[in-house]
Amino acid sequence: MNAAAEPIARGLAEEAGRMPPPAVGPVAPRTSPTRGAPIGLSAHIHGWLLLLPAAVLLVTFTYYPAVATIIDSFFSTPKGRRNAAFIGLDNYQAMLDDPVFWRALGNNIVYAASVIPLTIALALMMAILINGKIAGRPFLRLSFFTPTVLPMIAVANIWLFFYSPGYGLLDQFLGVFGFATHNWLGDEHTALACLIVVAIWKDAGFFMIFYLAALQQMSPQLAEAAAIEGASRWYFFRRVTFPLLMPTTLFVLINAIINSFRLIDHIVVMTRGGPDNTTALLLFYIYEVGFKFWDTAYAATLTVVLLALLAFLALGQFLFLDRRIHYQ
Amino acid sequence: MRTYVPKTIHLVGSIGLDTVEDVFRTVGMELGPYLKRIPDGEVGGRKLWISWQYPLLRASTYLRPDPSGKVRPTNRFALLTLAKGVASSDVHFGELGYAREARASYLDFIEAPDTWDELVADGAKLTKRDAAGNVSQWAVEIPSTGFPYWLFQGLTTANNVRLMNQAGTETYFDKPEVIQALQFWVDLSRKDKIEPQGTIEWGTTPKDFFERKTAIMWTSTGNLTNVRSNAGFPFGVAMLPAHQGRGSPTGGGNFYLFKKMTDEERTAAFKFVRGMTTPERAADWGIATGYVAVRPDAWDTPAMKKYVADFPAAAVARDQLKYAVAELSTHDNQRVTKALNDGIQAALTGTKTPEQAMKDAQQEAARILRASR
Repeated sequence: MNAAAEPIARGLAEEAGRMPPPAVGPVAPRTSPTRGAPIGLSAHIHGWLLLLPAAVLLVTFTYYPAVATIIDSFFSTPKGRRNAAFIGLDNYQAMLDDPVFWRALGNNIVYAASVIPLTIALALMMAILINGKIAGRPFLRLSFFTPTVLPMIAVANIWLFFYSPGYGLLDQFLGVFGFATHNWLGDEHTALACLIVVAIWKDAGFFMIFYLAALQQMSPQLAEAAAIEGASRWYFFRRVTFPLLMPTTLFVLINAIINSFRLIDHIVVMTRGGPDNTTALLLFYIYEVGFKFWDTAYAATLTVVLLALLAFLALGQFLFLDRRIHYQ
Repeated sequence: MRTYVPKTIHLVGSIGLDTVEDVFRTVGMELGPYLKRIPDGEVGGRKLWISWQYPLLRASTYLRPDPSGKVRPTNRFALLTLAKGVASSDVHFGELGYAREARASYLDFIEAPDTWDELVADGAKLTKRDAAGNVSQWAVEIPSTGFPYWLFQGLTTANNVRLMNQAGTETYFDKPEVIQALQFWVDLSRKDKIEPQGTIEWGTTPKDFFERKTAIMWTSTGNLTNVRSNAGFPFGVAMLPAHQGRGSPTGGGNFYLFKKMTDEERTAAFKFVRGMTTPERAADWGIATGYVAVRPDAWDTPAMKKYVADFPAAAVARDQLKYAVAELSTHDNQRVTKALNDGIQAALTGTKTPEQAMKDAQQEAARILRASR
């Protein structure tokens, strides 16, 4: 969905950027027959009908749930025969007093701040690596992309054994260099980092594909011109390649941010938020409150926070970053 | 389906291997199911009884070398005879070390430790470290991810304390006995150093046991068939170690029949529950998984009788049920349980002392339960 939406979004942005068209020289007369004539009722209906399927989907699965969530967050959770009652901001007050919420939020910020830049950097490096002519390229492409294809639940179970103390892959590897065994997932200092590594490993290959596509569309003339001018490879990357990749980076960044708040499968499998909430992320906590505690109103309150956070980030990206990005 | 293998091989006498464990493993691997008896002799330096007893006999003042100078043809030992003026009824050798050695070698195949103190004492022997201090085998693993409260009840119940009242409206997480139980658990890893530090993953614990990373694991009976199929060595099942008494939590799941049902639905639901819990089905389920068959008459079915006769370990958890208490269950159960789980994990990772962890858990639980009273 997102991948398909990108060119459209880009097209719209280009369109918006070009308005109004520069009025230089004689403008060719438009030949549209409806130009200037009043638009008929049937055309209106026609237009709305075309919009209807998308509108129905959006309203049913996006706008209505979001609005319902916000409304629910001002009510209490119905229990047994007791119906939900309006309690104003009580849920929000309880949330501010809830140490696990703050913990989960803090964890999520650390998690996002590590996963997002590292994933993007790794994806870019892998894309550049396999864009060049190197031996075993198809094999490398396959192996970089494989983590994306595998279901998270399955790979989390495998990673569980990678991290297991003693005979786990990581400990066996480190043992070669004389390191003592370590209880990676059972230690509050390393558990979150372990999950961050899994997330990076999982997503880097996916984002690599977008970078690879962008790199392959880049004209080889640019590199040739730069070579003639005597630009170093790093200079060429910094001043030509990377700026030209910015639209892709924005798209990847949005997806990375969404994923860092959205993907919690590995937490369910590997730590269930433990030890002592050190790996609880916001969505995992929402899941616990909503589907283990069945405190639906409080879960709605937490969801509003998540929604606000994501909306704020998305807005920031489109308003600030998008303006600075050069679209070809 | 296991096929019946006739057990036809008897081994007698000593086997020239270094340790009891080697003997058992070697004959177990080589002869496996055909083996009927294992040797009752000794191992290592004592595999030739006469040879290792000789220095002791030779040192005795009651005996002297035979004056004729005769030697035993096999090992050239001088034959011994009574010393001058010694009557055979006077001869005694004091402590031969036989009983001590027997007890020590028995420890290799011990019954699991029966009390907390024994767990710690045996644990010191069962924890194997290399020269650098790296542990190759831990004595015990009590898994603590996800739902640590459950096995914690195995400790608290043995310390003669309940975690909640019958109505499920009060919890007693900060009682001294509960704190002691948690202190004992934390000490296993931090003081006695016979359990890995930090939380221990449920999912990998059976694998740790198969890989001999841990000598003892605490786990669900639902793992028994898994262990039976995948452990490449002989193993035993024991009740949880006792302290003030024995104790364990119950486990399992429930069937619910709702009040708001039509008669038709109620009849159908009841029929389903009956069908799921017939003695034969309970026995089948228990045999296939290891879970304790839920009704006494399931244990009288021919299939179950044959299974238990073949595999007595299967009956241990059943017999332990008479010491079991109800699994932690309160109003707003998941939330209260989480308060306790977080506290236990905080103590195990060392972020809080057991006392602080349980006081915080109790405070949180009391806050949650206020609405239920």
